[in-house]
Amino acid sequence: MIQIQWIEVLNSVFFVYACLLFTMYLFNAILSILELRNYSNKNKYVNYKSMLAFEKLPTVSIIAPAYNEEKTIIDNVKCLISLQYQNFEIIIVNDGSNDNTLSKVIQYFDLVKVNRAYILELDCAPIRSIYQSKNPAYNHLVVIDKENGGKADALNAGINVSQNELFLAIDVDCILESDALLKMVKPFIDDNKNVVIASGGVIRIANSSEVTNGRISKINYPRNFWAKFQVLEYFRAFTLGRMAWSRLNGLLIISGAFGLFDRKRVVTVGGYDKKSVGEDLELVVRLRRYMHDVEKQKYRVAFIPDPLCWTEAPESYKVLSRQRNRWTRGAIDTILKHKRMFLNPKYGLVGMLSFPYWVLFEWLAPVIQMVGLIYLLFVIIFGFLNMHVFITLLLFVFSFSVMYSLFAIFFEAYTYHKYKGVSYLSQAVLFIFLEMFIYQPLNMIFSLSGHFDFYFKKNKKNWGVMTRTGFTKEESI
Amino acid sequence: MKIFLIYLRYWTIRISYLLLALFLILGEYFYTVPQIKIGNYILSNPYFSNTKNISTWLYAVDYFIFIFTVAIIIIAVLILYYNINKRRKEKADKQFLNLFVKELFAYLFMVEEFTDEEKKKKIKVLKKALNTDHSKRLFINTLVDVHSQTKGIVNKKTFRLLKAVKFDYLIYAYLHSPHFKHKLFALKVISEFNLEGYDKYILKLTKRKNSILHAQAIITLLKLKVYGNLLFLTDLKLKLTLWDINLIVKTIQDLNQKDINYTVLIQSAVPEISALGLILARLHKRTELKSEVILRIGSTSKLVNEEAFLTLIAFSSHQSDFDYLIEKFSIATHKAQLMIIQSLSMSSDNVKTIQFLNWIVENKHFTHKTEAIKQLLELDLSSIRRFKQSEDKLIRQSCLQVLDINL
Repeated sequence: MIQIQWIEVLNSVFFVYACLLFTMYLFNAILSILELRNYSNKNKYVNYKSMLAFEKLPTVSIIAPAYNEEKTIIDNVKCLISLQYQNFEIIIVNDGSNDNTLSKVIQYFDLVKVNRAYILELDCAPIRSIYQSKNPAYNHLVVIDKENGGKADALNAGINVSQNELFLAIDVDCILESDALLKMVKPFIDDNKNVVIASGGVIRIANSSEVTNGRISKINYPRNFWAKFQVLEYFRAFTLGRMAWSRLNGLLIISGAFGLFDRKRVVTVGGYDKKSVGEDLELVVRLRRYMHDVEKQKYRVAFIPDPLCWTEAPESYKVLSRQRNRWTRGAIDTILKHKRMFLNPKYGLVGMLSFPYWVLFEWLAPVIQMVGLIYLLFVIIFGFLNMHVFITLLLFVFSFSVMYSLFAIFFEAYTYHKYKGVSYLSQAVLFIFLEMFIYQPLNMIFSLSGHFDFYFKKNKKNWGVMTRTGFTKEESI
Repeated sequence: MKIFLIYLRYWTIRISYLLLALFLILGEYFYTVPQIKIGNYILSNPYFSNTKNISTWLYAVDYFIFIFTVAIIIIAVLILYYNINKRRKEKADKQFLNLFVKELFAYLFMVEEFTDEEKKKKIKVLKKALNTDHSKRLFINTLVDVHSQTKGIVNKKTFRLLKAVKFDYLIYAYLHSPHFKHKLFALKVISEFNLEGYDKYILKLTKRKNSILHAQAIITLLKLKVYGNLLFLTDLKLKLTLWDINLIVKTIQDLNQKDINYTVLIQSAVPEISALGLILARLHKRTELKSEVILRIGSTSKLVNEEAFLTLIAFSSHQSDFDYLIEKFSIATHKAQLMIIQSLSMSSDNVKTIQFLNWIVENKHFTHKTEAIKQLLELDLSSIRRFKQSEDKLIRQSCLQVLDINL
């Protein structure tokens, strides 16, 4: 009798958890529609190029840490150099690469060592030298050569050397749309109700897409099995998830691959946390905390729904597992470090909704999933399984997941329509079904390994080496 | 009529959403009863036998599965529809534009004019092709693009063409539409072609709380040049953003408009308007306003303070101006301080300037140090030699940066 009561209690816990999660997702979908409509209305007739002639535009430094990127570094820097903006510099931070990343850049861009002055406002590994180009065409390119210290450390070094008002932190291998910087800067000058402290943008997966002169020339649905899943995942995360949080001004993460920040405030809060593997999430949470604790003024973390940044997703099981493991460790680390914010009304919506969401549905999700599976095995083995209830709940979860993923595909088709063709659609639909049986269980295992590593292998901190296959290149004549 | 149709569509969509929500709620009720009687019709529930014996929570789950399944079917159909429709639309737009641009350009760039009879015929054919709102918008947008990028006869022809197709009713309806995007479209066309008769309504739009509409309405009014002195800006209800200020300045620059009441703008109690006045006075070199500018130095608004400094720097020609800038240096913003240091190369009092720059190098932020050393390089080499040997690492670094021939 007592066992049956326990089973009912556990049933209710899992059911309530699933219902809460689904409710959040439904709200996400609705808020995303509203936010995107608002953004589209607001910017439909904006001529971004007119910004190039503006009187008052913040100066920007693009900081791109590079570690063993010899294969793609030249193309990546060329892509950055051709960005449209009025007053910007590009700072490539060579984080002690042990391949030819530095020598290739020096040779190609005609760089020489310079005596550039800087203050060590943020802690970082020693800077060996700073290079700038003799060629006037590249006079806004700066290369820092420093000892290895990790991505956060490299970003801190870049922030130390930069002196502009804003800085764009990006992964050097990302491909940006030529007007990406203009679109990212706009929220900083277009809000008179809030201080904008950071802005993030949508990242899309570019595996199998064609690249011409450092720009995406043809978007293809990835050919790689793992990348196909990630396209769907990115649709959901960026187009639905982050858009919705942005609508509520509760966005807690700006991807480390593409985020624009107010330099002065980042320096004030101490820059990137070198000890964290989720430095991007941690910085945004710390900035938000600082705004509530110290500045106490209305602020906003903006988000741009336009697909402005294209990246290469992991194509192998091994790299994917490492990436997800790192993301999980980063999330746990940040949550524990800022646990004071959890359900703390002092932090407003961030403390009462965003942070609890991360705790419940990011940190605890894989653990609850795992416990759920063990519990299922237990009730099957001991004959407590009510088949009707089980099938109903399975259908409930299944139908919701399919609906949500389909909605993400629909949303993409309705708004930006970057992926086209019957082949893409049929594959995407097929992968929605496969996802639930292959990708999601695997993701759960990767996240659990992240949990394990966080609690039992405290020293596991590295760059999370990514094996690059490079984009499909199509050189123009 | 057009406005009526726009409003009809606007409300139909909203009422449909309401009906859908109502349907979902009623559906939940329908699920629990064996049948519903509507007049003489009896609608029986095929699922009742399945749902009557289950607990409430499981029943709710069951109902949601039904809703999700219906949603899956609807979304799948919508995905297919949008994919096919978008591709078809893109193709049709391309074909339409190709044909249309060919015809349009042939007309716009031909040297000889058509006869009146030919014109009437051409317009008739064109209007027949432009039979949907979408095609009309495409046409008008193309005209706007051509108009904004051309001058002279071609520019005039685009205007004449717009008048000839008589789409004024559409622009009027769009301007009064409840849809925000329609209003923006209308404002864009009105501002580009300087269409008359709309300025009073647009002036009302500048008082709307919607920031985007508000900004676009301001730009349109500026382009219409009906309120040339810009005094309408002092009556705005909404604060301007930096984006708006930039756009206004750019528009005024593009129009080369100079009949502005700078004094009233600068004296405005609204910081953004005052800053706008200062920027415009600086760009238009209205040095006679120097005393007004000086009054704004030290303003509690950071924006006004910075613009006042930048304007005063731009107006500085006498030694007294530089002395004043040095005196007020500490209350200037970071950017203004850098500009003050740069401007001191024009100062005639070298002794005072060198003394001040030395003070900057020894006491201020390192970006200032670097800038000051740059100035000293031309004024006082002995200071440079001293800074090269300085015990302060930052001063040495700044000095080395300035002396680096590669930088």
